[in-house]
Amino acid sequence: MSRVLTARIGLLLGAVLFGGLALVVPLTAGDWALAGTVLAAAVAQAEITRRTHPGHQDLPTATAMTSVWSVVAAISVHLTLAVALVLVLHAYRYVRDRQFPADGGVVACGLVAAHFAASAGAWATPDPVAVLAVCAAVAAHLTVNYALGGHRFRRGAADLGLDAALLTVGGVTGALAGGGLLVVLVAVPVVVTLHNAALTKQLEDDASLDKKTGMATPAAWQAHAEHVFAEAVPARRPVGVLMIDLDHFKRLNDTYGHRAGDDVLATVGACLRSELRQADFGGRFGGEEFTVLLPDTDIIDTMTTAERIRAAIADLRVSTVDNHGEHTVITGVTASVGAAAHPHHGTTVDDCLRVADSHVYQAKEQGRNMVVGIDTARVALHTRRGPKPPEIG
Amino acid sequence: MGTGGHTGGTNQVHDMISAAAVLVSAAVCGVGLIWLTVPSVSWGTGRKALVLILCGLIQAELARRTAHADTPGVSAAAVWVVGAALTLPLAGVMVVSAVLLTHDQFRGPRRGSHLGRVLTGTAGAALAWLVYSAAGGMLGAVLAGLAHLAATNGPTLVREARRLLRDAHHRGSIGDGMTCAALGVLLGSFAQHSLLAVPLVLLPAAYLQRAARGRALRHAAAHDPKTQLWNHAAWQTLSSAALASHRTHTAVLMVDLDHFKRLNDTYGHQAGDDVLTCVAHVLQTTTRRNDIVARFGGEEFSILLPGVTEQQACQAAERIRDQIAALTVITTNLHGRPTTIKGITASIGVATTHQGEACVDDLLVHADRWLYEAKESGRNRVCGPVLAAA
Repeated sequence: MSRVLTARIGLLLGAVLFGGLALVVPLTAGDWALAGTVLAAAVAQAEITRRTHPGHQDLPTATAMTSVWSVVAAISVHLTLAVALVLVLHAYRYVRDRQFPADGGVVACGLVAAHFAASAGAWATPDPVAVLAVCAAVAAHLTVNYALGGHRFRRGAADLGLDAALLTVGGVTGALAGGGLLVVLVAVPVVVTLHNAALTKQLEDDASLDKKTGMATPAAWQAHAEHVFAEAVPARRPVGVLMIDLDHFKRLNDTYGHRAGDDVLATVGACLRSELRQADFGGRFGGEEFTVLLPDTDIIDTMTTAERIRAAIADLRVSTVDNHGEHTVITGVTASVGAAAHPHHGTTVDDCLRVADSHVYQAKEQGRNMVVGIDTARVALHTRRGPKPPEIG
Repeated sequence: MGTGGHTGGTNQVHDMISAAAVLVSAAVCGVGLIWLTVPSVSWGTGRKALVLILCGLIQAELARRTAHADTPGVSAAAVWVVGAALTLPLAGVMVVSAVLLTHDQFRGPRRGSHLGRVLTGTAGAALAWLVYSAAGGMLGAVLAGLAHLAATNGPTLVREARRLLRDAHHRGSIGDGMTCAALGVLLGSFAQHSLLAVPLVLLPAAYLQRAARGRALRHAAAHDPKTQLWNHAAWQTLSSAALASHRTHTAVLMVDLDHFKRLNDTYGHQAGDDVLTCVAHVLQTTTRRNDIVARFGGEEFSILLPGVTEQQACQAAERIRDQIAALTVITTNLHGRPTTIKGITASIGVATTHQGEACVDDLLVHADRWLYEAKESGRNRVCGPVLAAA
């Protein structure tokens, strides 16, 4: 609520500033034409982005886009029209998306636009000084905006670089706009592309997470596992791999319906996440199969973890809705777990996965709801690890 | 990067070479820039070309280091070539484009020798220069950028435009080619006044790769990789939106290929994939621009037809069934020999909204039921409420 209030105060201040300046500074028809072109370009860019990224209306990114066009206007036209442009763009965004781009951003954009107009004497003909001025302007805009907190939700240096890139485009466009209106339209595809780059992080997260279970997708799991193995193998550190397959999942699906099956998968996913350590990495391998990567875990500890996970899954109670829309609680979900580890079973992800998979098969053969890894008695003798650990499985 | 065949050692050597190349070019570029800022030295053509080439090389080497293995790389040589076309005489443009295209050939993101790319790149550079020297000014710069774009990316542009015309839901994307050309126009126009502007463009150019990755991810998230139709999830989203905005009748067709498993077993998976691709093409060409065609899974396709009556929907389904039955697919069989497959048939279930209150899931369930009906009554036919009543 307070953000909306701040934004409204910002808009009001901007309007007052605009009115005051409009009285002081005379504007020519050319200025208006240029400002109109910048506005058209800004709206075109926003619409293209809306079309290509439905549902990805990210507030900070939207602010960054607004500031690009306000920088163009501040450099090429005048502070007055730049402030007006910021106001119009915010109003447009409010009408279109029902949201104000940012709280402090409104004020910041106006203030920094003022800075540009003040620092720009030689904009009409770009020369070497203009380049330095563009750099200075970009730096100042970034400093003010970050200091005022308009970008406080943004993350890290990548975004700073991206903002700088955007504003550089804005600065260069603004410096050139005096020579012809067309250049403003040339900037549109560049800004759209940079906006795409800004949204890539979000898309990467979407692509690497399985929506149903919240675990990593097979490709993401594989990539991470390859990375861990690449580090662990030369350093001779152990890595454990588990393959977890839910028992009789198809029967469950047929009995209770797909909705119930999905709920079971989601619950198992949550259970796995709570059982794993920070460094462990769980993924969904396919239908009802999960994979878990356990860095720095030898085969004995891998077996222990596997047993703990098996027990946790067996204790699960899943409340769901069955075929007939009635509320039910499903218990007795069990899993067969295959364990494998580097360096015991192989030195690559695929080797370990293959072994774990064959262990799952053995577990299924031997009656399900059990862990199959290695004959733990033999390992104990082999590694001379004191007392014999309890037989598992 | 992205060359799986390399061993760790060679990769390290490559990395070291590229790091050294970046360092050297950065150092040379720095020296060059300092030299240029001294006013007593004249601004020769050679130096302009040198700055453009160095910046282009630095950008390409940086992009190489940040490239992802799973997305095709972006070659940003066009930025510097278009920039050169706006600032240098023809000889200088040719030198810049030759150096950058050669570099792109050997150390660029796209592997293999593509003589065509070098030729179109060079032709594009020459064309851009000609256009700019003929027209001049900002308009000339923009036209030069467009000329370069048309020469180097013509086929892609045509394909994209065709897709946009055929499919109203296709979200066309601003390609790398267009962005590179636009950035090149900005660069060239600014560099006419001051060469210091050239390194400024390195900053936006560094993010081209990332944008391309985002685009690839977005495409992969919404499309079926085999047929390039929408995938299930995207179909669901688009159809819900279409259903909400269309107050009139809307129909859903569920198309299922008959005996597809048998075909797969007889001819092999390659043949099966080819059949799926051909059927997808038929579905796309026989439907209207507003229709939403998706591969639902396996050999099932779903189509949403907004604004049609039951009668029209059944006619459309009948047309699709005919076209699929008339299909001849040329492919390779299990033993790698070329074969032609004919007589592919499909069963289609039709469901329509009556009052416009049904949701997509309901329609799907109904269509699925009619599809089952069609399968039961002997396959290769269309089943729907109207046909059942008749």
